[in-house]
Amino acid sequence: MSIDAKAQRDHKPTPFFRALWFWMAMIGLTLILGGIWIVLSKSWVTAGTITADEAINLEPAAIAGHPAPNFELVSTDGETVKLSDFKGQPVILNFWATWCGPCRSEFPEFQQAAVDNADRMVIIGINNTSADNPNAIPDFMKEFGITFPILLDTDREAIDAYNVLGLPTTIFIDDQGVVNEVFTGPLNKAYIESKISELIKSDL
Amino acid sequence: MLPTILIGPVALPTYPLFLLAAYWAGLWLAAGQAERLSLDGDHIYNAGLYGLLAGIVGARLGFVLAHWENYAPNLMQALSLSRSALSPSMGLITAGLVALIYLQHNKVPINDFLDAAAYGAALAIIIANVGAFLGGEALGAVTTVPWAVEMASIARHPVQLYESAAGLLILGILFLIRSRPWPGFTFWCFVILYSLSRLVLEIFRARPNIIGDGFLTVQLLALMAMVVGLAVMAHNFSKNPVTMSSEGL
Repeated sequence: MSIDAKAQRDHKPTPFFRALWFWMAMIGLTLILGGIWIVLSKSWVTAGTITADEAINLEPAAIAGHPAPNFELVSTDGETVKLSDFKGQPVILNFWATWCGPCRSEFPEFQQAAVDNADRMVIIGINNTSADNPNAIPDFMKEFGITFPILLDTDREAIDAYNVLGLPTTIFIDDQGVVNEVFTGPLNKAYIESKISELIKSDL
Repeated sequence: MLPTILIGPVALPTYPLFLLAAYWAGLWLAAGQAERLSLDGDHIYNAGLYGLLAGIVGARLGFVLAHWENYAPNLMQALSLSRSALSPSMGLITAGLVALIYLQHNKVPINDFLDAAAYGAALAIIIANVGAFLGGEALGAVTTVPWAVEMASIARHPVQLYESAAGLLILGILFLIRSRPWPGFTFWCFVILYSLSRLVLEIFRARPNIIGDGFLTVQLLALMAMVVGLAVMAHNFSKNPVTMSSEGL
């Protein structure tokens, strides 16, 4: 670089964005404006304009964050059971059928979980009776020693309400009656237990 | 909403499909930009692939460690192929670490890499959010604005499209700026702009993550990232008395 060119360059005033004060001012401005925006947002959250409890206003649906659709079905014991009976406790709904292989693999895990968490949460099996042989159900329950309630969905009431497209499908519902997760496919023991501890924890 | 795309008899879930497209398109654009910075584009693809694999493993590992008492009796259960049982934050950290190790090992200048990656990230944000919109993921807050879109049975802010538009704007700005007064400049521009977009748009999200008594977690993180970005700008601009150069961009 020639001396002339260097001198020329040195004569140019420093562009503002090269100056430290400019960036300090930017940081200050960002903190002030950003801080105001964050506090405003917080006030909207507390005022309910944007709220974590928005689920209350949503239509019931088998979508995480929505209230779980209610249903009224008859159990294998002949009792009428409504989902709303269990409000205040986390609920796991497991849709199954006797002919469904993957359902068999996860049933012992649900039975164990039902025993382990009897006082803290509810596990409900919903048999897709409209597409199952009702006579096979008692044998199936005996085989796995099922003690948790099994409901018979003879008219696809719950199947349709929960938009169940394949078996097994498992719906995790929190103690507020809000869907936490919709899981299609077989679950393993560790995942069931992890979800239960999450649901019970959010309970406290 | 279009939760699945039908190709003949095959139903493909929209959102994961768009995520895949976003990942691929992001790598492609970043690789192209890397070549312009005279960096081997293959490094981008390699770091991206190793990062993805490590990210998946790390995400599952993170979940298993967080629920160790449940997995310890039978560790084979950690190998399930389900899309659940993942810890996204652990996945991101592992992916970043492995990509970093790859770059160090191959002596790739990290700032040049990040500058190229910034373009890819912006493109990926555009595509992923369109997928979230179509698939009905990451829903917006309930609203009565005239442009609200009915999703999950109620009129909502199409917040995914806001995010997508922000990504487009960011990508446009990155291409407009083009010049790189110092290595890493493009990346930090991206960090500042993206953080700004999250800071502004987070209020349009349904059920945002809340910390303390009502603060939106993302907003606090975004503001911190912006300040860090501006501090990096201050540091580099004040210590680098070199003239603006285009460095082939």
